[in-house]
Amino acid sequence: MNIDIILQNMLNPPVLFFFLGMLAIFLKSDLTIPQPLPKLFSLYLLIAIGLHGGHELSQSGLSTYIFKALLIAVGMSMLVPVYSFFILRMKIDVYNAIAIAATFGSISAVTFITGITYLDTIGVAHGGFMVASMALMESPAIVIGLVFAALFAKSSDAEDENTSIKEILREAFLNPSVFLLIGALAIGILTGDKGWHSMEPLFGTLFKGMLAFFLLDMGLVAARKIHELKKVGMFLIGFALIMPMVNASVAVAVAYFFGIEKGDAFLLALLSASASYIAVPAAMRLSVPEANPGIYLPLSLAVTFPFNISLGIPLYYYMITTFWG
Amino acid sequence: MKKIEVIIESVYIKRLLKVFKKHKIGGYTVIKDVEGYGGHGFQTADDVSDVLSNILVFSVCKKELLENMQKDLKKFLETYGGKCIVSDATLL
Repeated sequence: MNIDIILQNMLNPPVLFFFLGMLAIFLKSDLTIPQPLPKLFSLYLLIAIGLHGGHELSQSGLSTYIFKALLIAVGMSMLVPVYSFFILRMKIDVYNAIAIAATFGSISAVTFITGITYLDTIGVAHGGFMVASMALMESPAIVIGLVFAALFAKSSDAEDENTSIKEILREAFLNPSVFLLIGALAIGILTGDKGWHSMEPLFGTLFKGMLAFFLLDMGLVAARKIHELKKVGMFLIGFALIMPMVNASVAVAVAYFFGIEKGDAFLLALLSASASYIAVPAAMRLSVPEANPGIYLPLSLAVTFPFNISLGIPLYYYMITTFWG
Repeated sequence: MKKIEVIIESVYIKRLLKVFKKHKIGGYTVIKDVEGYGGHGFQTADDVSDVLSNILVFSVCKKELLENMQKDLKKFLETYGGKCIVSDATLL
């Protein structure tokens, strides 16, 4: 892999702001972002990416190709938690194995957005419908986690099971990020070209700046979680570094087999490689309270996320160029 | 009168309020995103999601209501973690 390809990604301002956030914690700076703002940034990014994707989808329309790509996305989000669970069970208890497998089966919207920014920087085309595949990949891992919990784990919450399952399914399909993303996508499709141009000054032009702000906050959060990795152990740290590459490789092979185009295949690989740190941990806290969030959150936030946005993106792109040329 | 203060992870708020409702505690106050140091280290209040944040719920009720609720509250804390502080209170 060429060093230029790594530098091209690392020297992206939003990615550098992520590392600036981490540096602030390592150097014990008092830098903080007041509480409601990180939530506003994440809402902004979801609306922006949903609207943009909806607009592009309104231009391209639905086709067999899009349907194939969406199918691969859903398939990967169901497959990854299954094999991850059985790998994890070789070393750790059932509760943590379920939570980690679900976390790695789902996706990180910010990793996806950083990947799109990378593709835009190097001028590689990608379909707007990929936003829909991202939304579709958020929830299946939560459902697989619930199935595994029912099959393999004895929940301490058994007496409250019915309400609990209802609550978790709501969390899986109506959690704020999935709901807002699909809603923004629908608005983007409905309003088409005219709607997008009226919103573009806020959701298009300012996008990269807001992403930088959000990644600065993510850097602060990720760095604070790093000290917790001491308790996690080498097996799981290795898992959080190797599994994204394995998942991306599987996605690349499947995408190649089904004739997916370069940019879309890269995004499928990146989505399969990413791990959730918002929707799934929230659902796992509710459905498997026995699992330790001090394990699965630092793995996804402090290992997989920084790996993906710094080295993962160029690595997966390198895989893609090797296959697609 | 007794004042109950519960610090829990934000994701469990609905489940705690269910315990309150079961024991007919009709009034409560919720303070979101509280910071502090505890068994899980320093919990900050500027994180991106509610998965990482803590919440403080407090209520004032009659002593008998608290006695009825105590068992369920203890079970809740054993399952989901958190802290509960009970103190004497006077309502003006």
